[in-house]
Amino acid sequence: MAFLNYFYSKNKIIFVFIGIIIFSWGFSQRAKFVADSLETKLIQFKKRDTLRAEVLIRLATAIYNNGDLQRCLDLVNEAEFIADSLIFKRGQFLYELFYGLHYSQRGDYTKALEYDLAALKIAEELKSKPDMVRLYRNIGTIYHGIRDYKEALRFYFEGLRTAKKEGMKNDIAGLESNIGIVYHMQKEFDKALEFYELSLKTCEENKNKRTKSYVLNSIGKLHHERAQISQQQRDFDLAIKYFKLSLTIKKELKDLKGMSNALGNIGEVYTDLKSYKQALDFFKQGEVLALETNYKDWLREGYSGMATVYNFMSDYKNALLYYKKFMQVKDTLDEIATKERMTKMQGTFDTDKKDKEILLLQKDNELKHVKLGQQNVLLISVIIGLIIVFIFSIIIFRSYRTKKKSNDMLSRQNHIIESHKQQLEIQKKSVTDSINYARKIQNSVFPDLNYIREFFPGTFVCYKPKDIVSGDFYWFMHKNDFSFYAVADCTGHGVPGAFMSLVASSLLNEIVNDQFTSSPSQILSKLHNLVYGTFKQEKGDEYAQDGLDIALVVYDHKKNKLVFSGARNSVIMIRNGMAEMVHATQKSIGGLSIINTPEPDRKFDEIEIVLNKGDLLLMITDGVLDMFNHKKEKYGILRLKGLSQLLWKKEDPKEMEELGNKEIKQWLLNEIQVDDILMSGIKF
Amino acid sequence: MENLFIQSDTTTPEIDFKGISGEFKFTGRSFPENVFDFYNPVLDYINLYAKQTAPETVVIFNMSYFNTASYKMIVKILLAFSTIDKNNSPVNIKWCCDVNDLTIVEKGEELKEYLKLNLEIVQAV
Repeated sequence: MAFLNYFYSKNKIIFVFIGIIIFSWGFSQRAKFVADSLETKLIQFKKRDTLRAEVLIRLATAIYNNGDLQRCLDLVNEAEFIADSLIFKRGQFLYELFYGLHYSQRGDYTKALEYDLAALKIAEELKSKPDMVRLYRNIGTIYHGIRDYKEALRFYFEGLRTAKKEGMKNDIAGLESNIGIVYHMQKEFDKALEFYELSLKTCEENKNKRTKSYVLNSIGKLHHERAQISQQQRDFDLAIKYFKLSLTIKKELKDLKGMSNALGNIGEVYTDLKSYKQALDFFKQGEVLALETNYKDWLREGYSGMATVYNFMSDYKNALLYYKKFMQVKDTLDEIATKERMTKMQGTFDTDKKDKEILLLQKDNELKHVKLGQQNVLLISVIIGLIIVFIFSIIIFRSYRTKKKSNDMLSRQNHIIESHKQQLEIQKKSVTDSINYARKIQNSVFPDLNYIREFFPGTFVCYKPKDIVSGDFYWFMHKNDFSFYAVADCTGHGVPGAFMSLVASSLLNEIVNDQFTSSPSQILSKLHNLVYGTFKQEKGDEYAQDGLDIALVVYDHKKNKLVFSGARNSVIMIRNGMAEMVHATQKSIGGLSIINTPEPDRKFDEIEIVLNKGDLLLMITDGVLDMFNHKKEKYGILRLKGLSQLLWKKEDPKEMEELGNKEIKQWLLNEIQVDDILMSGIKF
Repeated sequence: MENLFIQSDTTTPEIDFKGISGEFKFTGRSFPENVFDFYNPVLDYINLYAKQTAPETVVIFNMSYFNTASYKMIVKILLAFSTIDKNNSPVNIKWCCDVNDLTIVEKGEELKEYLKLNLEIVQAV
């Protein structure tokens, strides 16, 4: 008979131990809120990577107490698979810890130990000290619970050593107290006292009142046990002194149950001292608090203690009264314990084991009742039968309700999805219509191929946007005796690219019309000035830092001379079947420098090419080189050179266009096109 | 420090970061619709790593294609690594590509020159 002996009773140890885990891994009453936000994340993180693994375990932990054990196990199973296949250590740690918790909840301490040890090993590898301390403590507590004191001490001491290194004061106090308790249970009172004192000191440094009150109570207990052996007044006094110290702190903490424990313990000491009046006084104070908090465990011990006192006082009437009260509480508690165990088993999916456990439990019950010899066996079986029927009806009712709920939700969601789908289709149609119209505008801005052919008869264009409109464009102008021709690639594709291409081609028109220059490099410098200014690019990332890569040639019809200037866009010349690159300057038009510094002026190199009859000039955008085929091979410069030699052999520009388009189509087949594609050539 | 692994997708590369040993790998192609969605977590990880670096950092870029927007994020990423290089631990960057692929080679050379990086261009296997 003892109060506040949570460390002496196996069930309670586990209860406290789970309490620690629940507390430290954060699934408190906010669990539902946390669970909901995790469910959303789970939908977002579809890919089987480390992020998903962590979310899976956190979700399983959060919903563990809601009862859908199968779902929890499924979630953790997937996380286990991901963590193992990616060798994701933290994920492995989390799932081992989860299983440790799961098995200790079910009372399978051997398995819980196995998983906790595995988790500890990973925590050690990850050098995560707080996790290690927690596991040392948990594992120590399990050994403690199954009364393997040697192992319990080993883990407690290891935890203590680590906690001290890391300065984890609360853990130090708890571990010192636990070590004290282990010695205490083995009746090594001096050693126990030594560790209790250490823990007290740590608690004081750390102002940890709760642990301090427990330790004071343990010390009181220790002196009481000593007194029972020595029968020395001094030891009894010490016991009372420490229980009273504990009582004072419990009062400060407004811990009513704790207070009733301390009061009950004092009552017991006075009983041993044969001071029955005082003993009754303390028991009764404790009883008031225990009744207020419905603290049945206390009532069982307290009523028994009081019955004993009345017995010693020869007040047999009261002794009988309290003995009856004691029996009543005891029966209720036994019933609750049976119910709890049955409920736990309900969650067990291993049917064999479940049946066995139910059988054992029933036998256990029967034995107990035969021993007591007071209870009606038939009545108990009926109660058990009723409980089973009750549990099953709850299960059936709940599964029916859940099914109905999810069906309702599904049909509601279906409806929402359907209406969203319609909305999306309408939106998509209106966006597509508008982009199709934009294509018309972009096509009208492109120069007319027949007009170009008046000046360059051998011109062809292969043009294939990634989306409907394109960031690639070609541009032509003829002024005095000069023809200007450009192929350009604006940053981005689709609508933003198309915007840029319209701005750039009108700026080119403006430059060539307004300024009297036939130098392509000067035109590009000016184009950079204008793009940089138009988009206010000096102001940094707030404004569009877009621009374009361009290849520009100017042909002097009188001198049969071609001048090329390129901004990050080189061209290929094919003469006598030999393809050769003519390199552009490695700078774009527009935008800050690559390290985001202002660059309002840029200079570009100019290369003069004297033409022979039959030369082919090939101008392309990046998209041509970056075409991937189904083997994920890039088209690349070598293949382009090969193609350019074949193009050179053709005379008719229409055949060149056909050949170019066929090559693009064959290379891409069904593969996704990563960028806009433009390839244009002039045969001289 | 935990590892970061993101599987590759049609438009995004595989990310394989091991913060403890200081290994950072980018593999594949990059042209996502929204580069920030993809690269911000990647940058966050590198900034976290900067606070507790390995003695030596090795960055392996093995990207066969990236669009302009992705290239801007790559510049940001490499700037973060160059800060690590200046502050505490050496960073070696291996720019793996097909050496005949001039687009990628030139981008590597440009990064090396502008960001003053310890960058080596190597033939991808």
